[in-house]
Amino acid sequence: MALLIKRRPKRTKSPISLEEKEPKTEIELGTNVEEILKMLEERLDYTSDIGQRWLKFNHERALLVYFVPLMDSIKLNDHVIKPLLIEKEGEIKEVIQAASITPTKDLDEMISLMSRGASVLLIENDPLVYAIDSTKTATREVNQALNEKIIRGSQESFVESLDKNLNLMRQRFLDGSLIVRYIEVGSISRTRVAVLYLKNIANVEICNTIINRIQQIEVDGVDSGSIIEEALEDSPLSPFPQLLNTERPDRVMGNLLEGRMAVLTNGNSSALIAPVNFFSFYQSPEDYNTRALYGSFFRLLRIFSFFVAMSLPAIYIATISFHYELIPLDLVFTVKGSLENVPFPPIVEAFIMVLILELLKEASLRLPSSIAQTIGVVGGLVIGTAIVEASLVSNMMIIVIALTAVSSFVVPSNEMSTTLRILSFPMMIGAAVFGYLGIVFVLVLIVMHLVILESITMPYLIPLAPFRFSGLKDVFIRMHQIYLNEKPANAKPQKRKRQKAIRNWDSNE
Amino acid sequence: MNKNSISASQLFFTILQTQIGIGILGLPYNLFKTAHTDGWISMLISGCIIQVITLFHWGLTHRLPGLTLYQMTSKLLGKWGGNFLNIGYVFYYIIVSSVITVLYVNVLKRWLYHLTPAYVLVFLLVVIALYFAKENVRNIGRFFTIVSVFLIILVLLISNAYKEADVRYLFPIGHSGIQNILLASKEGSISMLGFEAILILAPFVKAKSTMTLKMVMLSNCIVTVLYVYIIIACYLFFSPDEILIVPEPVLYILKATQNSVIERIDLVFITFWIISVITSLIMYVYISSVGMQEIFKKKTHRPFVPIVLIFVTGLSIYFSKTDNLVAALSQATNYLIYVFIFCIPICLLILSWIRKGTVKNEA
Repeated sequence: MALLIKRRPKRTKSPISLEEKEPKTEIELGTNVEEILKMLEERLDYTSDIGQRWLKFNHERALLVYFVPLMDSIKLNDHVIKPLLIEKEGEIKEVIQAASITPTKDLDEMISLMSRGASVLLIENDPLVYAIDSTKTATREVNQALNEKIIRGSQESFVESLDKNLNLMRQRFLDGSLIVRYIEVGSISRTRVAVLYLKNIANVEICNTIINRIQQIEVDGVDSGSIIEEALEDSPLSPFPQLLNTERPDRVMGNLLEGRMAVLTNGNSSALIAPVNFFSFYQSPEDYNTRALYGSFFRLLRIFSFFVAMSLPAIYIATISFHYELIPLDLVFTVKGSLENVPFPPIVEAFIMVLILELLKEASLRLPSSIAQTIGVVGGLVIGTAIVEASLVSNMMIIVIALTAVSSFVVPSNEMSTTLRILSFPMMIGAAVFGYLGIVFVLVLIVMHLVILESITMPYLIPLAPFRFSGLKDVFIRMHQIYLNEKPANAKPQKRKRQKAIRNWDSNE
Repeated sequence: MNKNSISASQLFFTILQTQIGIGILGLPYNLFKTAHTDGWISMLISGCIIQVITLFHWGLTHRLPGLTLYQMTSKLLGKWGGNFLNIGYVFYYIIVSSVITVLYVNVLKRWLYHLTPAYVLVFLLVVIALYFAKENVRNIGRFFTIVSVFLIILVLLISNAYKEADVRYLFPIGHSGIQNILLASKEGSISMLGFEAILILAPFVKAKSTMTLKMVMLSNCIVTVLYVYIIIACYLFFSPDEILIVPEPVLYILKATQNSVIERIDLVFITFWIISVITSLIMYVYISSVGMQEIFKKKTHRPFVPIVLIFVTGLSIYFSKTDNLVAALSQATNYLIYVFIFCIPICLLILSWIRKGTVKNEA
């Protein structure tokens, strides 16, 4: 059982800083343009997508090299080539009208800059080469959030481009307290990872922990979102997600304001939020976008769904195989009637149904939506009805498993919903072996695990363990904004006060 | 900041959860055997006795601040004497852990799992203890705090009994005689054990020493009130003749109450009661392995948790074979309690007064 395994692998390696990671060998560029070009081409194995444009500048031969696919032709023509052709001489930085010009001497840095979309100007007898930004990166536009849809409020969602995502975030903090720290991860991909936090609000210690953990990643490339997530987790073997994944800028904003940090990765359209607690996964932006009463109602519904999703099949199994005396007599007859012709023990029935359900979910997930409907009909109606008529699974079990599935999908976070469905298996086994005692046994282990668990060194089950009464205002219910005067203690923010007045007119009138 | 510390309120809940365990299920019956329907008076007296003993224990932690029981013994008695006493304590707590396990397994076997072998049920408890007793005081405090919610549920469930209460059963008050009432309070005191965890926990509490005392005394008060509430509920619900035939009156009350959704609430209760049992068990296993840590001079108590639990498992499986063995074990433990909880700490306190010059006193 994963819960029993030691929760933190001991690191024997001493932490090393980023600078020491690889001894930087600077390859000095000469002053001869042709030599430099040859060095470059050899280094890049005569790659086909390199572009060249010979020019004359300051009466010397000059060469512009760049990766053709990365170039914005308008930028390149109007802001780089045209001024060079017109001016013919002068200071490079004055002639060229690009936002950023980086002089360098190093071949590796030059290649790295070119890969990021710079065109590099080489001039004969000039020891420096000039990387001029003229990039056009391929990216999609900001769209509606697909995985975390809400009814009221902002519909924006992150995209794959880090710059666009940071643009979305910057718009939301105009006083400059949003701080962005770039970290480069991956020796080949050199992926930019941005850690976002609010100055004077976020806890410095936690922030340093996150940055430190990201800096110590040594991989070839960041090809999936999970590398950063798994590098940051405190307990990699835990079934519970310890970082919150979201594609919604407004959700990131809310969490930043509560003193948490966000980690955005270039090429990944979801942000990671840390440190989070268990209840973060049950909060939806919807709760704050609607009125407090509705938000609280749905919050309670979700917490209820947590217990249903995890324990309903187990309770059903335990009841019908061990504790018949527990349910009222009339109900016993109904249940018994539906079980009459089923040859399997309840645990097998439950496993069959859960498996079918997961199959259907997995099958419809990646299909085009028009075909997915067919799966729904075939799976839901045909298999559902036929399996009961064939007496493989009882009616009751279908109801139980369907309710479980629906409840598990109520959770706003996909990770948490999967965790719940996975955890229902040990519960079912416990129920089949020991009845209610088995359920309580597994539940106790899960609660203990949650108490021990930490998200970036912060307790996971706060405000329940350690118990913070004031924290409960935004956990099981969402209190009216006028009472939410303090930020949750979970992220140990520097300032606890969140607001001074929302309804000041109320008392002034 | 010391990562391994608990707040005063966490100490309160930790002590509370350690105190409330398997004992309450049979307590009304046990008191009734000697004190008849005056058992609740005995319970109140036990509460007072425990408060006094708590004062002694606290006095010890107050005179030797920052030390656990195991370090105190070495300090007061020297290395060998201290170690000898520590080994005694380690085994005492192993035995107490076994008693808890055996008693709960016994109840489970009688109420739910007639055919399940005892070792399977022992194994269940041991697995949970193994998972959590290796944690530090901070995590234990947190866990004990959140599971205290179940006490509220217990109080609400028991309140059903008051609907069908007959106050006349309690009268005449005091008819069983002062002697019997006092004798029964011995039984009551034993059911309140758990406060002695202060000897181990005190150095971890992030509060003033007097605050620690207040919290432990508050915990004693709450436990006394809760027990009296349950005892009176049982005495009012069952007639004096009936009580003699129900050894676990708390469960019988739940069994007798009707509910439209769940008919046998006692079965649900007994399984959830594992939480209260496990908290006591975890605390004792923790204390015991901390003792081993002290004896072997290791940095953490983690490696000793499995060792302690192997002893507990062995003892529990052996003693849960027949009811006679269970009774014998409980009886033997009662004597050990006098020695280890009542006598030794008081002796140590006196010793610390005698050797005043060598130990520093600070608030």
